[in-house]
Amino acid sequence: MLENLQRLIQLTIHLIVNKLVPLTHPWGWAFIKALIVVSLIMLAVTFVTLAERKLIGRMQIRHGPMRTGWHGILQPIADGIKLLCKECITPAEADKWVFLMAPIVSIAFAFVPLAVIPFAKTFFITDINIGLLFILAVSSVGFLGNIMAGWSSASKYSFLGSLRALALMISFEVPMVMSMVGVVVFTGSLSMVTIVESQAHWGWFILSQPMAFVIYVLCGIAETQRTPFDMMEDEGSLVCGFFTEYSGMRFALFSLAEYINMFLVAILATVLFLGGWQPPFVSWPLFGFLNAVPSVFWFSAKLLLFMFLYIWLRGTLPRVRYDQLMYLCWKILMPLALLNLMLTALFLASKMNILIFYLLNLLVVVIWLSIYAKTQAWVSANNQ
Amino acid sequence: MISLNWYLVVSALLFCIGLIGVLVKRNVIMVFLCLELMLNAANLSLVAFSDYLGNIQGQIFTIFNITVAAAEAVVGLAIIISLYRNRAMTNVDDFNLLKW
Amino acid sequence: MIHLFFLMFSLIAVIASWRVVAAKHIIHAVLWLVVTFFSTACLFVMLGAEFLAAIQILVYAGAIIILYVFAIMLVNVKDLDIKAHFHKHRRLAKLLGLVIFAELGLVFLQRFTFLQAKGPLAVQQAEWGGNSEVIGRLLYTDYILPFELASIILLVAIIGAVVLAITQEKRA
Repeated sequence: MLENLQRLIQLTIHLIVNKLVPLTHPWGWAFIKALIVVSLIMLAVTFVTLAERKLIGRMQIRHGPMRTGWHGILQPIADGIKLLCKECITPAEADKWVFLMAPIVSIAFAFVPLAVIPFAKTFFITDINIGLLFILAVSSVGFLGNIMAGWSSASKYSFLGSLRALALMISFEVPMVMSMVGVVVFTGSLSMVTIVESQAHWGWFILSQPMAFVIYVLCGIAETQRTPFDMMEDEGSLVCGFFTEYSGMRFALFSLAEYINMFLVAILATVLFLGGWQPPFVSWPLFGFLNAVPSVFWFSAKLLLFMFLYIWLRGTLPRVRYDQLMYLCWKILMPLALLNLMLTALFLASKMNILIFYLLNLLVVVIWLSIYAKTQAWVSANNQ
Repeated sequence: MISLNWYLVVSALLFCIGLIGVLVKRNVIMVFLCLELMLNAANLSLVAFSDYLGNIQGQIFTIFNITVAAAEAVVGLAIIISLYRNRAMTNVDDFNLLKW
Repeated sequence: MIHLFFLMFSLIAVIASWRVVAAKHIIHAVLWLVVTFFSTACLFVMLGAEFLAAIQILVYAGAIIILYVFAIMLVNVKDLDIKAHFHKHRRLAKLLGLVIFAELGLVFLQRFTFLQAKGPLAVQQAEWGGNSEVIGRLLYTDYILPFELASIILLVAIIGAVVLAITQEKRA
């Protein structure tokens, strides 16, 4: 019985690997790699939801989910079963096709950018020469899912939520791209693999582009609609934002897309600023033994660190008001991103030592912070 | 290898559909959308020529084309919004204040 | 294979663009327009212009379309119901469109004998490393003046949009 089962499984694997997906063809490999990436990301998303609930619980001095499995380890599976069993309601006034397509568009365009990301030294689905641009383009189309959901639900909460989301996305996309341009100027290439590899030469870009990193993180949090900036899902005033009217599996698809987008922002931060799969201190011979650790470990460590930052911020900060958000975007992040770009161009043109550039960047940040503190003090003094 | 002519035929088809849209529609925003369609068709033929002539100029022209399309959309939509505020309508036929 | 892709993308583009014109509601038109832009971008990739394909999706689908949706959402949705929104001369317009298409098709289906000479693009791409590198180099050398002009156009558009859309009460 057991032997037969084993042979059946072997035969099935053989059929899939050798007959249905010919490995000699490059598409066969790409297909298998894509399968691996998608399933791993799905798994990671499932358990990040659990980690989020546990960590937020700890930050608020409670336990989080405890009942399902050991310390609630099976909670995401229980959630998934619950959402699968629920009824998918379509509002009577809704535009049916658009309503149906919205979660599909969201999830599809959340997955597509994963195709060009180097997860490890030799593991990436594909490497195209416009990788970064491709990611930006595809993920900007993903927002159409929000609009479709918000408009087609025929509900004022969804509508207002998607309007807010739209304004936020248009605004924050600009400084975000500007902050990435500094890195691209350094590497001279848009290919993700080249960007990671060039950080062995330049050092991690978080050192030479600290301002860009901060701008990127803020914009990334805003773009994925996470807590300090989650104006569009404001439970207090708009029930749940653009997916108020969704239930069951469609709702699950939306939150899945949201989490994959979070992962994408974390992955981009890792690849662009934190050295991708490179171990720390990569250019120092003293730390050469770090190369013995598989590169995917470094990648996932940085990734999870960034995800922790997300959850930490959610547990710590209150929500920002809408006008404050716009003020932050256009009057603080935007000029800073331009300044950073100018500094980077100057550095590359003058061929100065990179250590001096690190110091220069730090100096600019300190000067800017002190000016900001002075003006804030002045403003608050004048207001009273 | 697909010959250049087929790309041009597709581009012409898109252009003519956009043209019909511009002529047929009465809503200003719809007219703008169809204009974007026509610009898109022009871009397609420019890129096709660029590939078949082996000359990058077609692609560079397309970049400027997209830039101008963005500027046009911004200003046009601002005009539409302010018109809508003042007259509460978006039909092309109703904007006849300057008609003598 | 490449014929299949060409057929697929061009069919999608044409059908979607027809749906833009024939759409019942303006948001449907916008969504079909996105489909058109996407398949056009795929055609760009087939023509070896991958940088432009990404720019097309980023600028059109990511920015311009979202701008349109924003404008549509700011305008009262009931005013935009396109039930009776066709001109009365629509037969004439369709005829005109068909005639122009026939003319263009007649021109385009001829043999372009003067296109036999290949330009320097392949050499440039091999030398400078790719499509985006060639575009970047030429934009910042040969085409620097039009490039700066384009940025001025964008600046004017920003200021113009702000001036047009600002409400009168806020100024005082």
